[in-house]
Amino acid sequence: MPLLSTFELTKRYPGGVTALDGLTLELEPGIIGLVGANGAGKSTFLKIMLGLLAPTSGSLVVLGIDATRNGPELRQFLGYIPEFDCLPPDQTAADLVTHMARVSGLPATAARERAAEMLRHVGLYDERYRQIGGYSTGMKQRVKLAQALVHDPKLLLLDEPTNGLDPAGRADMLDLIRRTGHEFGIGVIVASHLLSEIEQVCDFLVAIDAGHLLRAASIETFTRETELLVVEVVGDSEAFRQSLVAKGLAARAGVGGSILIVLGDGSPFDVVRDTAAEMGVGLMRVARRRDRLEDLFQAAPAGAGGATNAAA
Amino acid sequence: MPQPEPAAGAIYDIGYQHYDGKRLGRAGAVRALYFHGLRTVFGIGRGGRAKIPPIALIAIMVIPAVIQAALAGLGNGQIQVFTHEGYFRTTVWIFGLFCAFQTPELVTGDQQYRVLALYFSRAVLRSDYVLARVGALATALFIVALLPHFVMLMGDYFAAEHVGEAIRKSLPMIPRILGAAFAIAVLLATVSITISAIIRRRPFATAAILALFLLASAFVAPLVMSRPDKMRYLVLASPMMVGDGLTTWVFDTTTVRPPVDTTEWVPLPPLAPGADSAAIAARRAEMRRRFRRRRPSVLETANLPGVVYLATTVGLILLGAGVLTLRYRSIET
Repeated sequence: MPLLSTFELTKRYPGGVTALDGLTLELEPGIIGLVGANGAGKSTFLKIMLGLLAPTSGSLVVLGIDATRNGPELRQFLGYIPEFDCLPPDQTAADLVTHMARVSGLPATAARERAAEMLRHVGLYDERYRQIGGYSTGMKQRVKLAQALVHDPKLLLLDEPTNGLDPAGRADMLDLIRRTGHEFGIGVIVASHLLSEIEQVCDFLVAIDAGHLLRAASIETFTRETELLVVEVVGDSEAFRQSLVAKGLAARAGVGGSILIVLGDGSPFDVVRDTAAEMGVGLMRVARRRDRLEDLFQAAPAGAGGATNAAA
Repeated sequence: MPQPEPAAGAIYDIGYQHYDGKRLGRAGAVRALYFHGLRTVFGIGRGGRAKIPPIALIAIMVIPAVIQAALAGLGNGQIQVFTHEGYFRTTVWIFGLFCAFQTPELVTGDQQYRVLALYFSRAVLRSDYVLARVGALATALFIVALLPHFVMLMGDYFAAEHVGEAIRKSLPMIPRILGAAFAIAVLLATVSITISAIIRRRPFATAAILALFLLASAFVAPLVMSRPDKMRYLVLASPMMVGDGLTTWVFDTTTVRPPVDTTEWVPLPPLAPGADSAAIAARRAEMRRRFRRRRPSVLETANLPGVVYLATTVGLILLGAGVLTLRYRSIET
């Protein structure tokens, strides 16, 4: 059973804004990154997954349950972390997580036990009787994770989970996400605008822009395609680039006369060296660099039709 | 990616346990919200200071009943200072304070701190949330409203020579006590939750509830008294007067009150500057006569049939339910 499958999923808001436009996807269990710029439709997609927002057209099946019709039933098996602050400051973490466990349908005793267990998992066991108002942003984020996991969901939805965290907090959060997906065996969908972050934990990436599916591919594919070789030469840069293209390399002009070569499968290093020797230009810089997400979106638009990670 | 320190790693490595016990679904979720709300109203689970207002108000609420119970013991059940039918009117301001201080806590925080996003990502529907919160406050008010009646009944039973007979005598009273308490609890709960949900900030919600529950009657009363023929329906603008009218009706359905002669209360025309002593004496006599007669209450002056209060109660509850539905449907989470 796929974790999630959509067909021609479209959401238009009354104001005429199209948040999702004909999204067709099929995702297998794992940690899935949902990347896109702010306003790309990530949060809308998550809310439709939760059954909180009705799509304008199309279908969405999550965990084998129709999300557009059976929201309450589906939500029993989902955990959700909103991107904004959503914790009452005057409650202790233990009380809040226990309460949320009960609201998730767990009996009282099980709720208490699992709340303590989850707070231990996220590393807040010693602080669990303190009021949340006194917590740091990182600690609050962990409480949000604990309350989302307390009822042992089958799928965890995270909206910008590293927002507002310092580098150490980000690392901790990403580690917890990785453990949730790989050790706890819970499906995870992480929405983020920071590719560099979620690519550290994801098995599969879905990139959307303005409601359209740009790419859906395994993380290896993405990594291969976003890795670039930056070459700077002393001499005629443009002539050098053209002779590289003539030798079959995907070389394009970068800023300030630099040349960007998609690394891909091949190894362009020898070709660059030999060409430089032939033309007598001096190599000033040869360095690996990661392409920015936006560049990738422009360089590789989505193919027609649907995408699946079944083979990933 | 830095590795966690060994100590932290050791804590993490206890391992994740999947849960395969019972799941109570949507019904369990609503129950959890309801009981959580009930605890919140009484300040349970919110630290020591949160318990002071509800406990103090309940204590003040019961004091007249305790006095009445003591008097019943002293006077062999003959002395009646506080009655079942008049208790709501005596304690209206306590109900007002209780609603004003305990209601906003139930719903404003969930909106202000966006906890609703967590609730609505569960099996809970928006209407479930509203029902659970109103139900929790109504239950709390029902308990608070019943407590003094219970104390007075116990006072009567203990004072009586024949307990059995005292209980039998009080039996017709019991469904009325329950009915009036229930109606008032649902009415005040719906109205004060609606106000809090719309206003969203605790201090302002408290002020608004105080204004509607306590100031409205003070504002309306002189208007009704001055022009009973035209202004009588204004009593329905005060939820507390509606509750009072309903209570009076529930406890006294059989008696039809004779209409009060309101012409009595029209102010006397001013005396002419040069009035003689006979006129002044007549004026004094009239004043004394009027003073000896009990001034009718606002509700007696308005003299509306009980059904009007019942219909207004039901109407206000339905209106509140409608407003709450719209309000919570419009909240984005």
